[in-house]
Amino acid sequence: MATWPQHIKEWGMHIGGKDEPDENKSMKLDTSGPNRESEKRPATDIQDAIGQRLKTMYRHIVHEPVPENLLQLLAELEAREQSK
Amino acid sequence: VTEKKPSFRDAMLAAMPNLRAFAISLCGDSHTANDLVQETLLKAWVNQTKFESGTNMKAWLFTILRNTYFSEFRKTRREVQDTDDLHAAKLWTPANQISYLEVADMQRALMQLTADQREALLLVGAEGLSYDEAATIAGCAVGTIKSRVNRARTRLAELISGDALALPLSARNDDAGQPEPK
Repeated sequence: MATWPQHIKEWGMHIGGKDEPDENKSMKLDTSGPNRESEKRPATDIQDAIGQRLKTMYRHIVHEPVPENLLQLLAELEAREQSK
Repeated sequence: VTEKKPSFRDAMLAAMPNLRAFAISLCGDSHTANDLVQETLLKAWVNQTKFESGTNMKAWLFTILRNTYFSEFRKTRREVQDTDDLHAAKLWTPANQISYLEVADMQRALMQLTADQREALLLVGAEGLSYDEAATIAGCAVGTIKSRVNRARTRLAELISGDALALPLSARNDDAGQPEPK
């Protein structure tokens, strides 16, 4: 029998976050079908949790310092341009 | 002219963190992503006269980056993935609020998606762009982006909640008391 990893349960704590764009919410699984709501609810919750985790991961990368070589590249390009 | 070029560089600098995050998440490893961002910056700089001042610099750079990835970098990435399955795990070191395993799991799951699905999910779900903006960057119809995002989300849920991923890095504590995810 398949089981849920511990971190999926933890992700569930993030369900209902306020920073998810409205257009994303429209893409969640439709749980309104007859007699299916209780069956599909876990999958929807998992998708919500995954969405939150994806954003968290992405934000962490965004907030990392930009590597020096990339900054240097821009500086060199600009210096080369100005020396013409 | 001398005033325009510094602002162009400043705009590139401002977009760089997001550009890099998109590249890392799309490629699956920081080394390739670094090369991809470098290539993107070079192309953008050479073509800066084509950039319309006042328009969205980030979207413009994202478009260059994804075109470069799909035309030049994708094959290299696949070869790396085949020869070194743990490459994605080298993504980045753990930050304070997120564990290394969670990052590795998510990155590994992302790399199981098709590149098109991954791109769409990152643009909409991670970067927070509208479907219209994502479609413009990806060069496809809005409906195509919506479909890719939906499939990506469904696939990720399957991968992460099921047994489709064999994660050697993960020392998970499965809980038999949880319901079936499907």
